[in-house]
Amino acid sequence: MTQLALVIDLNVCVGCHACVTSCKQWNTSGAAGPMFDDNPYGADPTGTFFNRVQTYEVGEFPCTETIHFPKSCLHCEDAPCVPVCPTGASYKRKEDGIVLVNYDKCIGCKYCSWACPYGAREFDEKQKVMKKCTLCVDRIYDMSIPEDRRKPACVISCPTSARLFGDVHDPESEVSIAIRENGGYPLMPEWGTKPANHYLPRRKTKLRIHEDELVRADNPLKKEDIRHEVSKDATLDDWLM
Amino acid sequence: MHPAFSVIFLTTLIGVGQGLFLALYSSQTYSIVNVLPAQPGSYYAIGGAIALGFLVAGLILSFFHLGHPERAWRAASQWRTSWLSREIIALPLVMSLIAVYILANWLELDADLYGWGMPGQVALTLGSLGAAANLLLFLCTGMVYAAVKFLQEWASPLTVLNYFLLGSASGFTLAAAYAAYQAPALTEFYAGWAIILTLAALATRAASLIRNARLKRISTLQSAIGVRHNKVQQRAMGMMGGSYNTR
Amino acid sequence: MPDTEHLHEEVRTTTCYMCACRCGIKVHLKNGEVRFIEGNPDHPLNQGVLCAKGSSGIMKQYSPGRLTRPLRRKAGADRGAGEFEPISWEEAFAILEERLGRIRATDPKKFALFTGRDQMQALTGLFARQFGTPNYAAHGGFCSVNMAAGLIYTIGGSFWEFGGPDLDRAKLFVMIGTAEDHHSNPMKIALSKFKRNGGRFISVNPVRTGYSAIADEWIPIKPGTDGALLLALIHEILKTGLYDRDFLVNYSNSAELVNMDPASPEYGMFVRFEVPPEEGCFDPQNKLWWDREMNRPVSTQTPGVDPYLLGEFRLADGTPVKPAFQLLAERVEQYTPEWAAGITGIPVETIKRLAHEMGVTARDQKIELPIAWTDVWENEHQTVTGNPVAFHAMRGMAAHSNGFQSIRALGILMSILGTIDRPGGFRHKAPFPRPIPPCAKTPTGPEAVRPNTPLDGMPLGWPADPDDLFVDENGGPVRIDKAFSWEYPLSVHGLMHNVITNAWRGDPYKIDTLLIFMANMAWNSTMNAVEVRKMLNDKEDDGSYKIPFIVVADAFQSEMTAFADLILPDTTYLERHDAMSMLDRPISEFDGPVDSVRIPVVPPTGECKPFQEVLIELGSRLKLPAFVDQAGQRKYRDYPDFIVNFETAPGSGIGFLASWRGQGGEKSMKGEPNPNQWQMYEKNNCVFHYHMPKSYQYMRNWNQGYLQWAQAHGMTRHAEPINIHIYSEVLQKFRLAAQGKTDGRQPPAHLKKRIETYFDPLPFYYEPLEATLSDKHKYPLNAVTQRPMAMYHSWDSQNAWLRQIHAYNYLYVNPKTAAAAGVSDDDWIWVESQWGKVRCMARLSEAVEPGTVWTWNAIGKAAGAWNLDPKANEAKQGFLLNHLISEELPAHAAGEHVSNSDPVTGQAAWYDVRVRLYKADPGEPPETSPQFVAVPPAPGTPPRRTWQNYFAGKFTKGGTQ
Repeated sequence: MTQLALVIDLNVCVGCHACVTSCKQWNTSGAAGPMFDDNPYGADPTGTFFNRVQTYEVGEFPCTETIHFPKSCLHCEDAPCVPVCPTGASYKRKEDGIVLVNYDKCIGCKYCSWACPYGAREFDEKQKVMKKCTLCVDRIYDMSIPEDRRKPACVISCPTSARLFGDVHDPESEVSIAIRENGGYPLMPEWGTKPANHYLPRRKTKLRIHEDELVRADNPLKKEDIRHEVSKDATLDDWLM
Repeated sequence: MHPAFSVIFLTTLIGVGQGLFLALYSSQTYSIVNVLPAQPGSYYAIGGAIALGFLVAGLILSFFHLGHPERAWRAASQWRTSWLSREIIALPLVMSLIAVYILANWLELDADLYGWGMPGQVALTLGSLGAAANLLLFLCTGMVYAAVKFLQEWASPLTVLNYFLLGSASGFTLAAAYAAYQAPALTEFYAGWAIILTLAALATRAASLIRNARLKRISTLQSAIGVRHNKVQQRAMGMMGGSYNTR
Repeated sequence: MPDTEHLHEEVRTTTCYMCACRCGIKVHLKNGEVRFIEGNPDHPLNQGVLCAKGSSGIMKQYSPGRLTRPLRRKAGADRGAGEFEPISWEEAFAILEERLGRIRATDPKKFALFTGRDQMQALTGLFARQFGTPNYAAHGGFCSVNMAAGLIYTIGGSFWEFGGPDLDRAKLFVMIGTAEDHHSNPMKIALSKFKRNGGRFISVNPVRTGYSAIADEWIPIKPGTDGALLLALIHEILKTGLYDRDFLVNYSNSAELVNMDPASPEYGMFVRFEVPPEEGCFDPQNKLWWDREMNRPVSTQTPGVDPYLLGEFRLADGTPVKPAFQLLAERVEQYTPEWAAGITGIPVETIKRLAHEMGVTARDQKIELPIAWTDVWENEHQTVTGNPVAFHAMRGMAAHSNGFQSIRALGILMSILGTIDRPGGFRHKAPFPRPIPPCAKTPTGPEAVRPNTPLDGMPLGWPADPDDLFVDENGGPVRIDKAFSWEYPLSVHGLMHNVITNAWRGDPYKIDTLLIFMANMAWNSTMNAVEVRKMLNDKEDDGSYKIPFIVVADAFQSEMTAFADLILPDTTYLERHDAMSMLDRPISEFDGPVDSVRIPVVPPTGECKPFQEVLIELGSRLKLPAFVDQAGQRKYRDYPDFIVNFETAPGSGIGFLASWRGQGGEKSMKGEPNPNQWQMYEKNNCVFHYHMPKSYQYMRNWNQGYLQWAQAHGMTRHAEPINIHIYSEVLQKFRLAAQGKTDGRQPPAHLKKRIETYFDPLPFYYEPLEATLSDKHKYPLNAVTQRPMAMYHSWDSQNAWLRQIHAYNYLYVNPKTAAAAGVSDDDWIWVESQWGKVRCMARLSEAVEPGTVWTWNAIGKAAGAWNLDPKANEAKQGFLLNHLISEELPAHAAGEHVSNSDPVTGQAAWYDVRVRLYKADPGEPPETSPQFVAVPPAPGTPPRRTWQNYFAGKFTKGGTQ
């Protein structure tokens, strides 16, 4: 059974927010839209976004790591937002595992947002329905889009390609391989929600220099060692034939 | 995210209504076995109407927290999985049973249903059904919150118990006031139970607060982002004007 | 969801301009409204990706901050009050034609044109030159000119548009002080590939954000001390012999012999054995090496000769000489890691290890590519060698008054590691490499400025010696910004940051009309913003303005437009034609020249007119020779027509766009104009990418094939080798002039010491000028800014989506520094320099060096600007650090009004400012200070929506608001 998901590589995410706004622009004019903006030009502007990039600092100066952490719906395999919904508006698709909200059924009771431990749901204050990441369900199956671009907007825009997209149930998919080989992990596994989205941790490349490498026979300084007596009478004429 | 005021009103008001009904039901039951003096059917009918009034008021107020109240009927569909859906089924069930109870008492309907040869069998039957539904509603309301296991403060049987005890305490208190006006002989009974229930609620609520204060967080900032370090601090949420989740 | 079934949908290709990166985009339209902007997968620059800014182009297009009508300041209204009345374009042109015509007929230098945008310089520069004014520049002087000049004067190329790190093949990558927006998407693409390929990434930066966040190692450094670190690295690499000797001998002036006779007028110059047969802007091959085998001087590049890099020798005539490298070694002797540790705050061991990592990686992980090439000395090479250590640096290094010499040190470090235009190292992008320095020159005296005559020379150029300066007979400046004068001789991008102050003061003279294009000189692009705003509004005793007429062309109602007498509404990038030209700053890749275009994908809003059209209209009306024919009749219908038909010289075949030239579009690089050129660009993703043969892609400073090709295609004048200037004779010439040892021009007395000090032919470290003129005990902290990746300058505060990400800014403070000042998270604090103080909010951060505080730049706004609500967070909580930074240094030996800039290049020294901080009084209002009187929305700006539901096809055309 297919479970589509994002794998987010924290090793290369520079926190540029491309995923945030590409998501917004695709979805506001798409099936999930319009996506409300409140006070867009005034105090405390806010709006409906499916994806946000948070920033964390780990450790103390000078051993600080700055971590940019993009977060959207994790499309849990055992999604706690689904059973709590009193109307069935919140559902998980059998065919690809995407967790969606049927806006026509949603009564806007917000119970699902309390039930989601990841804070991944966004209430649209204008349409009065609960919204969330759809994995761009209106993109990824659109045959009019070239196949290599048939991915969520955040994935195609990501400048560091920190966002991988695919079927985490297919062991040979790019995402499964990335999870397997690069230590991919789910968020808050302690709740048993089995998030489909995974994160790849930071990886460090180190260089170890052996002492031998600093003391070598081919050191160019040796070419300068031989100090000829400086000839007092050397002229060009003396030497040119 | 803060709970909507309408939801707070809902749970408070229906708690009062439910508690009042339980008070009426228990006093009527006692009276059948002659432990308490019997009252005319109108006493229970009017009392039941007051209880129903609270339930209706709560229900109406609850609509205000919905984005689309016109679709609220859909909310009954997911009773298999959603405690909220169950609550939404239980609430009208309680209300209709109370309505029937009111009617039966107002009309002083009675019959020897079980061949016991004593009066009040119809009221007792309807009252028992109503009481059972009421307990079910308390369970549903409590479980709406207790079932959210990630909100560890709520995810406890104490949440259900608190709803029951606080609702009943407020209902018995109201019953005491009602009786003082309409049936002084019952005031002591209601007031006594109101005190007992309030003290019990105080105890379970205190137990909740103590539990919450000592709660060991299952999730941490570390597990939230999957980074193992003693010092992890969030510096930016990614939206400075705030978002739905931060309000 | 609105019904969209019937909406007409189309996709058009153009080029982004949400920042200066210039990515290819595909714009999806629905009913003529922008549905989706995606990166163009077939574009070489961004390969399909797009950043946060580019993805928010929709909100720029439909922003209420947009100017839509030409506006004239209301009679009697003060500048800055923002009181305007709409006028027609015809009126606007008539005003300009009359005024500029009069100026041109009398004294053209009284017209000054300064642009924030430096990627339209080919046209704006042409206009200024044709007008006859020397007073023209783009924003480079206050951006990163040190990076351009420091490296171009050393290796003949620089970062960003000019060249960059080859991360495809690098093994070690060191990034120093890079702003997060620079070369944004290509850098992000490359960094991610580099990391995934197992490359080691080290970031040297006072702050760990953005790119630095994913570095394998973060080396925090005190601002303005990069030079000290780099010199110590050079010291260590020289000491351990980790330099690439062969590379230095063959491709730099390291082995060339320098005259060391202090009595000689040639002291510090290379010894020449003959007068060059041809003079030009290239290094003639007439210098000497000292042959190790024969122990005698020989002509450089004598086949089979291996010269000394170190030592001291004596020529036959007794002249003492030393190889340039010996002088470098002597110079860096003092710059030990121990010395640098005290200045930079970086531990000695880290500095040494860094040097060893660089040297060992460069030496032991060599790349040999099987690419045969021939050097300019006719030597055949079967392979191209690469030393895979790459660097990138930008404004963090550049925006200091010691930046030029620090960046020279960087260029030298890159060179001694043997990484210039080699795989895995630094690689050029066409038209670079250029000669050191490039050929373009300004006029050299005031006589070049004549009524009704084009300027006799370029407004900006590359001085090679004091005689190239643009000064009068007393050594005084000819330009209003004093560029190319003795105060800042190599100010190759001008000093836009001093224009307003100089014009206000009338120093060196008064001007009449200042035309500013797309630069927020009353706010985030100016130093000393509070005072500069007063200057813009200041009047003479007779009530006339000190700067008589200010014209601002911009697409948005910025803080600057409020000070205009005349506002010309520009279009957005989605509404215009544009050329990313080889004559300007193209978007070339390592493997060949690339240029690109914008084509309009939506019609102009209101009466907006592209600034290019304004220039062509004005040029035609003023009858500037390039814009009219012999009979004085208008030559170009419009900008697209100009782009197609303009040639650098009649019949040169070189125009703004390099491809689809020739009648049928069959020629590239050179060819006669093609009337269908725009359509051909449009059909081809709006981009032209010329792939050079592999043998032309490396070692281009010395690659005979490449240089001859570049010469044949008009990219360079000479096919001569461009040897790396480890030792800069150009700088020495200025020093000799200052020492009075030359016959040519000499600096005025008060600047002699300054020139002698800073025009050192070898890099050296000095404390930033402001620090030497500040009370460092009172102001112990450095304050710096950077731009966030999701905001480009002040442009994006009107962008409803981006401003939700950065609605205001904090001052980031290390917790230890904060604790010492009694400041906690989110406290209101005062940050104060010797020039002023600002109230702002503090945010503690472990990712900043304790001696530094920093903030995001240009988030803070003046109330009402950009058509934001005056109560917007940007105005109430956001702040500008600019109020703390002076555009001039305190009076000192070099003068009373010397720019707060690098003494060599005039680079604005933004990051030299020193501050202290303390908690604001609890009784003070919780808002940023200073506050400014709110400006009203300009006439014609769209209404400021209180909410919006953007849905393409239904937004402006009735529907979802």
